[in-house]
Amino acid sequence: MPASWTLPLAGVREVAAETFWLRFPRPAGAACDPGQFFMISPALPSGGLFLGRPFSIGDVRDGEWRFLLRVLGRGTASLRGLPERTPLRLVGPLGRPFRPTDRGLHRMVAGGIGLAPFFYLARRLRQERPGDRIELWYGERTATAHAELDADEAALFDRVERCTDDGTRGDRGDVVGSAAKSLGEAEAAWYACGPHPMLRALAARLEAGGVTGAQFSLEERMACGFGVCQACVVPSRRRPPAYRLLCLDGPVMDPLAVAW
Amino acid sequence: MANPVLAASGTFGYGDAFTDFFPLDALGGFVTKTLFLAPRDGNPAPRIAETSCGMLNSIGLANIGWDAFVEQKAPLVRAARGSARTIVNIAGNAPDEYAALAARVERDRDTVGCDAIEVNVSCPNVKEGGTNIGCDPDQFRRTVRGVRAETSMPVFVKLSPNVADVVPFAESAAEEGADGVSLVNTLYGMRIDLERRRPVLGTRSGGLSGPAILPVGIHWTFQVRAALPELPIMGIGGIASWRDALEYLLAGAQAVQVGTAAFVNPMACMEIVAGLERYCARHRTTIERLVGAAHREGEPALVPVWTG
Repeated sequence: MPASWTLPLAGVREVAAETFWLRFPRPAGAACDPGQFFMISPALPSGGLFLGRPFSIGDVRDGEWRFLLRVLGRGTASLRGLPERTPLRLVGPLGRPFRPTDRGLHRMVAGGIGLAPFFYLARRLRQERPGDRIELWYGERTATAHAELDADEAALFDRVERCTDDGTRGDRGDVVGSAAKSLGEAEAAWYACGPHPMLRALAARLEAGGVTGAQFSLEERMACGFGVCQACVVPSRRRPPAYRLLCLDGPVMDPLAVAW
Repeated sequence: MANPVLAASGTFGYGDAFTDFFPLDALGGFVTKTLFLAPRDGNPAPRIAETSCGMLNSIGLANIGWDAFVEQKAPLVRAARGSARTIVNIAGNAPDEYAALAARVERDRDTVGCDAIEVNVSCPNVKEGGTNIGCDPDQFRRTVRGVRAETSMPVFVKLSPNVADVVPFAESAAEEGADGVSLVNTLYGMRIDLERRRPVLGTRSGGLSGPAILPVGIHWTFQVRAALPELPIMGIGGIASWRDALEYLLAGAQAVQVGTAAFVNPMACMEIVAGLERYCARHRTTIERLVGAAHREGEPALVPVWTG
């Protein structure tokens, strides 16, 4: 069940250019599932930020809730600059998580900061389905944007394929083309998170390849995160309704349900 | 009412959205999201933009329509509301649509368990060229008159601040038989994306809400109270703390509605209820005695007592 928590920031750790983990002590007894998200905002009134920002749970380890962020605007810039122990409001966990699947191969496709939800997803799959194979396909524009994984994180994946738009790390090219090369291989459970054009392109490739049951984590502007402000509309492929609310019907959605 | 704090329309769903955070009956009451007779999809994204101390929205009055509200939402709300007052917020694309919906609310009032109607006049009149009903004195009167004729429930009219003077609209509402006014609705606003060089919102402009508009609401509450001391007022606009709520009470509002603040802090209403109780206890007073106190210029102002 979601709640409104006020938690002290445990720390900020950079893992790539403009990309960092935001860490909080996990409240006793509080649980969340991979793919769910929290609205994070300053606990005390702040002159700059007014609204909270939605962030997928990135990882749960060492008694902490961790969120992987990239500086993309005022909100993320101010969160990076906060000193330790700054109290922040976290409302959550919110939204629908990734659903279980009976497939034994999990293929996660991450574009840029779309990497965020896959650490905790892989961690839970490791715990609950220890025999399964987990692959990560991860693209960035350039090498300096690629997040470094620590030993614990690297052990979550059986295979990590990196690529860059400019060829400075891993394959040259976009992650959709890279991951789609494996479409002919064994049947996999597909997961994706990243910029809208990337998700749209991957949705088209998967549909053309006859893949069903894919799970995409989407993003949209939100004021509340729990169905009230009605800002986070995603055009629906099957109408009515014309729109679905990403906070209640997502953020994890079947790409076949979205009018890309 | 158990307390003077209500959840404002458009920020509380249909009464079913905050049940994870606090029980409905801890509120003085709540106002539903604006309902039309027929469902509306609303506008495409992006529907919101952050501003300094506030936000713009252009949701487009998305709603499930009256019939779906009665069938899907009302039973849960009626069971959970306890002492909380239920106010149904209504709108239409022209004055006669408001009246038609008011007639339906009157017919279904026991099924829904509603205590009052709030009339949202901040919609464009689609039939008459899109002029805003809440800013057009003639359409405003016709709308209030039409709703009044169809119901015996208390009618509150939610006033727009996008006019040169709100007071004549409050006077018109009272003359047409409204039982009170809610003020203020959102202010027009726009933001422009520097990289795209286009307005941020899909509809270009939207409604500004949040702490940025608090002084506007306080001003109009004070002015309407001064002009119409007998007309009940629900104060709305930028309330994020019990101090903000108390300002509205002192300016002359009998109750307050909390909206945008609850997006950011789902417990905002509860914190305001508790803060007002503490203030009353500390000053050995009651909400009733505080209402309109800022107008009593003949009485000496209180000497501040700092008790921490």
